[in-house]
Amino acid sequence: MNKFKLLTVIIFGIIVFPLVISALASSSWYTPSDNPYDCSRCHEKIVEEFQSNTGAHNNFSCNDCHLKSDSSYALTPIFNLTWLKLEVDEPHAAISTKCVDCHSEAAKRLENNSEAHLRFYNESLNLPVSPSSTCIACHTHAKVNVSWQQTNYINFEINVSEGITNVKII
Amino acid sequence: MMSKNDKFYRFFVVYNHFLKVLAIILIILVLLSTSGCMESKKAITIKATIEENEVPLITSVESKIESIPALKYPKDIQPNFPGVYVLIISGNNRVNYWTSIPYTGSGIYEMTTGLRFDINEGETARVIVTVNDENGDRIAINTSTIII
Repeated sequence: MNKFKLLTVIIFGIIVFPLVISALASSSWYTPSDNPYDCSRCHEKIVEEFQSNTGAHNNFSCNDCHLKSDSSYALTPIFNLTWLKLEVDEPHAAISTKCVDCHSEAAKRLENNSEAHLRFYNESLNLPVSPSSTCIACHTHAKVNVSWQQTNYINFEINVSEGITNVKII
Repeated sequence: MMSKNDKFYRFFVVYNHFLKVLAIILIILVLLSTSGCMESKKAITIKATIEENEVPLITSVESKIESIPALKYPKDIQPNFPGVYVLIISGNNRVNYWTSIPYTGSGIYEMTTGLRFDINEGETARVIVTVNDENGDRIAINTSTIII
């Protein structure tokens, strides 16, 4: 081996090889499955609802809010070995973010005792549903045509003069 | 006329090789520096103290900004059940990659999480640390804030 080749090997050994190793050692090679088809095999209605979503979350993917353990549900039953009753047939575990994780202002409003939804929210905590289910009860992803009106308070003055009552909203 | 045994000729050949090697090193360095591999990006290191007395309780959450080279930048990692998870919320969005470590009981848990979106400097983000059980259900939570 001549000197030039030797030097090239040394340079690759010193620079390129460590870089490749460090890249491999980093965790950047794991990509959670983000294929809605995987999820829709069991959660068809939710995926359908999400795909027809016209709201603020319409560009979200399943993986944005959920992280699930590996499962073979993406495969057709004949290939996913469920018929063998192996471990892969077990339900998968999944992480869910809660609505209030991102929408903390809603949680803050619920701290107010006069908040209109407080009773509904508190009652739902006794049910076997997640706090997010309470939000989803009204805030679905289906397009709804509702005009929301919220009035915090009204100040008014009442004057009685010569038998006539005058009400003035301030 | 120079012969191959001439000292000056031999020096010229070695010098020529040296220049070639130097050129290769420079090219590699330029390629690496322009490819973004050597750039550093902001990541967040979280230190959570968890005490377990029948149920886990996250007693404190500390977080700080760190600069990490792009090659070693933390991205999505495989889930852990049960695990300690961290969510960074900014602008009503989860802005960090999925980050967790296995939950093994009381102790101090340290995680470094990468940001999947660019966050404006000076923006405040919520740091949510949770403990999730073997089914993925949240069994403990604590939050803090950090200025990016």
